[in-house]
Amino acid sequence: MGIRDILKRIVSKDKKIVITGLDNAGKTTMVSFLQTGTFIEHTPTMGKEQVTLEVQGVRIDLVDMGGQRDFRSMWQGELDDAQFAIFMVDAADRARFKEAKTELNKISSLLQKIPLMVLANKYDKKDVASIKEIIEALGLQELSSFEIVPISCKTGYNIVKAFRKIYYKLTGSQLKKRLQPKALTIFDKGGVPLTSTSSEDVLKGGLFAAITSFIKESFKSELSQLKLEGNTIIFKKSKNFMGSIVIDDSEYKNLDEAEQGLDELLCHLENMCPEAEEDKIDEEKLKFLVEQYSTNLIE
Amino acid sequence: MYSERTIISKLGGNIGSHPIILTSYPVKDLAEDETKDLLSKCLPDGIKVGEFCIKRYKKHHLISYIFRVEKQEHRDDLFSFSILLHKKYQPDNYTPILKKIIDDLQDNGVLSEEILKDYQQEIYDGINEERDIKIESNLIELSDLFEKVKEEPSDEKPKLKGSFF
Repeated sequence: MGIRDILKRIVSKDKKIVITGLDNAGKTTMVSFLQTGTFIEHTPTMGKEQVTLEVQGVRIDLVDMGGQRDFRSMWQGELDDAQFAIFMVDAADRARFKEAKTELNKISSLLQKIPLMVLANKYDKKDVASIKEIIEALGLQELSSFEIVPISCKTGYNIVKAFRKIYYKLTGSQLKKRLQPKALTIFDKGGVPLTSTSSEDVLKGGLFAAITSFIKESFKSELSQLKLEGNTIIFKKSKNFMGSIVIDDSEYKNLDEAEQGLDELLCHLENMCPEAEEDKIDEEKLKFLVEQYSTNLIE
Repeated sequence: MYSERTIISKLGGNIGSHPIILTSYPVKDLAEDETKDLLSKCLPDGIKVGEFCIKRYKKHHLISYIFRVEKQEHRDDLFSFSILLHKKYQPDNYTPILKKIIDDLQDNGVLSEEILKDYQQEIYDGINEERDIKIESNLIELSDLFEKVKEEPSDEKPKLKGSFF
């Protein structure tokens, strides 16, 4: 990759990212996760689909290529004028690593001109290949440069982390620093804590339930914010869950972002836990979902 | 209304699938070129579930409705249900009919590849006779919809501007 290529890539305001990979790797699911903040099950992509995102003043065209054999010949044409390439691989489908390697080899000459990120998807599953195993199976070490990130387009694991890296490679600038929450806790609708990212969460046990019912009784309103020992605790409620996010008072200006992040997490949990409608909450599943999703909120 | 043909196309959600014309009625045997041409119009690039697609095909409009058929064993299949309609008809008027057929099958829990194949003749006849369609024990009421969208075919010739005729 020459200096001219790098400059051209960074200076241009409009960026084009082409997402390739075998069928059923999760390409469309990733694009929709970036748009909606949660998992949506898709039908296969017919040919290609294009979505435009505007991120910090930069217009990014995400071109999602169909992964079926019939559509793979289209990849080269789209990569020709792209600034970034993503190759998505199903990390749980070892039987198709060889096929993935063959397809990656076919576009390898184009990948010398633009950065490549390999996304090892389905890292929410138990029996996934390790990153080392994927590098070897796909022969990535033979490429001039690449980066590989494990993600899950179902739980959201590492999606923001991957996108931050892509954004930096594309534009030469960092995505604005997100806030650093101290803890994230999810409660059932009665206020009983179900899971927390911190064992030293500011709110312990049933304290939250007691505070919320006190506020409800005394002020006839819902608790939305609490200041405690140099921390601000933001509360949000969805249909079947409640959540709190603890941020340091020095991050007080990022309150909107914290609220938005918590809101998105609660929407994601409602989507992923339909059984909560019938008051059947699987705490292990919920804990896992929060752990995976919080990779986007807590670094 | 006269539809010359109904066509059902599919891109399977299973690994290793590719787009195909599943069935065509009443013309069943299609030449390779015709299949390719029709397929690119029934399931064009970038088409999504819930969308309609209207393309010209010879002297016809090819109207397609895109939908999903649920699968338990893998992700859902992508389907298109298309009709060939003479170009003298206004194609937009007929999109609600296609949608109604598919949505009713979906709502009644009988939308499947097998049902679409088995009842293609009944669907074709129902559309052309502008009547309700019976699929298994489900009645898809189309006659009212046909009344609403009924229109006279346009025989009007285009006016020639600047012509000395």
